[in-house]
Amino acid sequence: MALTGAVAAAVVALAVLGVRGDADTALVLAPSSLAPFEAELDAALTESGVGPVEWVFAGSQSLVAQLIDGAPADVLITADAATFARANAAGVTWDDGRDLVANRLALAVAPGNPGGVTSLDDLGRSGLLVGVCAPEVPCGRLAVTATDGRVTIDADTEETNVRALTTKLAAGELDVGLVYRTDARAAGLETIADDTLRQATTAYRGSANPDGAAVLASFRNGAAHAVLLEAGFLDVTT
Amino acid sequence: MKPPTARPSALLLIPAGAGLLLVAVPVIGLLQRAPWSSLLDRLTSDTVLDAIQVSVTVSVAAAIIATVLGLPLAWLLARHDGRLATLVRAAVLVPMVLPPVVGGTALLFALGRRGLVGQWLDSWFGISLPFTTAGAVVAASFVALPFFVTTVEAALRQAGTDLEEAAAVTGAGPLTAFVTVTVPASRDAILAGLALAWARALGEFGATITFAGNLAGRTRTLPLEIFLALESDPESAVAVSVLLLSVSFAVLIVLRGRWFSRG
Repeated sequence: MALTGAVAAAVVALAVLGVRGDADTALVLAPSSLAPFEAELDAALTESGVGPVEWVFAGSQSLVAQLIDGAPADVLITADAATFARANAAGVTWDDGRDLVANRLALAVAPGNPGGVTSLDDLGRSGLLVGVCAPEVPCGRLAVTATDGRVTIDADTEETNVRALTTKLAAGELDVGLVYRTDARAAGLETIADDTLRQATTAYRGSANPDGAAVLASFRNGAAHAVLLEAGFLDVTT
Repeated sequence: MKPPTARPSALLLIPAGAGLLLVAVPVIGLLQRAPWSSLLDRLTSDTVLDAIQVSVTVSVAAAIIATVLGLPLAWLLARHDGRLATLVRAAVLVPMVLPPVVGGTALLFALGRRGLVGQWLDSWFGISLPFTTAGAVVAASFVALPFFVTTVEAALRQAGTDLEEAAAVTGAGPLTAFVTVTVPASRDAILAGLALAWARALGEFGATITFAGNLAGRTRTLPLEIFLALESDPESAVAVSVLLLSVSFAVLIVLRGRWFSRG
């Protein structure tokens, strides 16, 4: 009897926990590259009367996969238009989306630049430990576009999100990698200027339901937008 | 002789059934989404074949390492009690309870080229484990070892020391007794431990991607391939999952069940 009681109690507990907490709080699915700025974004959204919000940070492609599988959300932000288009095609966005900010890649090196990296061409140099994002994810897709025709990347690892790559660079386990310039800056990584990379940008795209509309608007031209520009993101018009 | 079958109490059957459903329903969910008609094509694509090759190499090597290192460890733990043995046992079990990503990070800090031990491996021998197949083997061995040790330690404890003592009476040294008496007598448990360790190594994801990275043909094992494919080609991801599941299931049945045992 006690056992059945315990099972029943466990089922009830799961049912209670399974119901999402605060209905008034917008649930925001945001790409990994926004995660380093969570605290600043929280503060800005709260101060401007839009927040607080609940965040789910993951690779854009993971977010879209979650959404397609029925994950709850009020706002979806992806790190590129292609990933957004997949969500849109699957019918899980609330509209065709708006561009929010743009980002660029940076050639980031391990602390102290042990590989002696001087230019983008070093990504093809053998003997260097080179990391990029996998071509399935936005930062990897942008890496392919940005380096096309300039250098064939001889990668030692293809990471599934930009944060994993940034962490390995910061730990000095990789010599060089292509991460968003905002991630490089947030992690304090040294970067090597390269004009080729300046020509390729990715636009972050978002969509929201009525509960998340104010949050999305803040990302487009409000307080959250200002935080991102401060962090090194670019205006979409640039 | 089989033990007398007690009439199962409904009070036990209900939670037992719920437990079975908890593990079985997700598997059925996976199977019903599998693209059966194109399964073979999907499993023989170049990327999947690459991943199969890496997975076989890594999981077999890790299972061998877990056995070679785990067997003496299990024996020492089975024959010793006391604080030191308790501490060692807890330490060996840590990878079982640690989130694999944390395990991978710990491996990076220990064996990475800037790591505690890794910096010496790098400067003395020119060995750098991260982002190599050997690194993936280390990650898989790290998570697989406790599965071998716990399985075999329990069996060695249960078997007791009678046989070893008898061997000692006949003049065999401890090492001879271990190799000629203890190991053959624990064959079933060793096979069971090997199967568990191998299956765990085959399914390893978090520690591998964190410590060894992800590169086709080098460190991209089947679980990593599934993770990437989930987001670009979900049907192929399910196909590869079905493969992984079937192989692990078959091996666990054969080596853990009563197929080979004399009982």
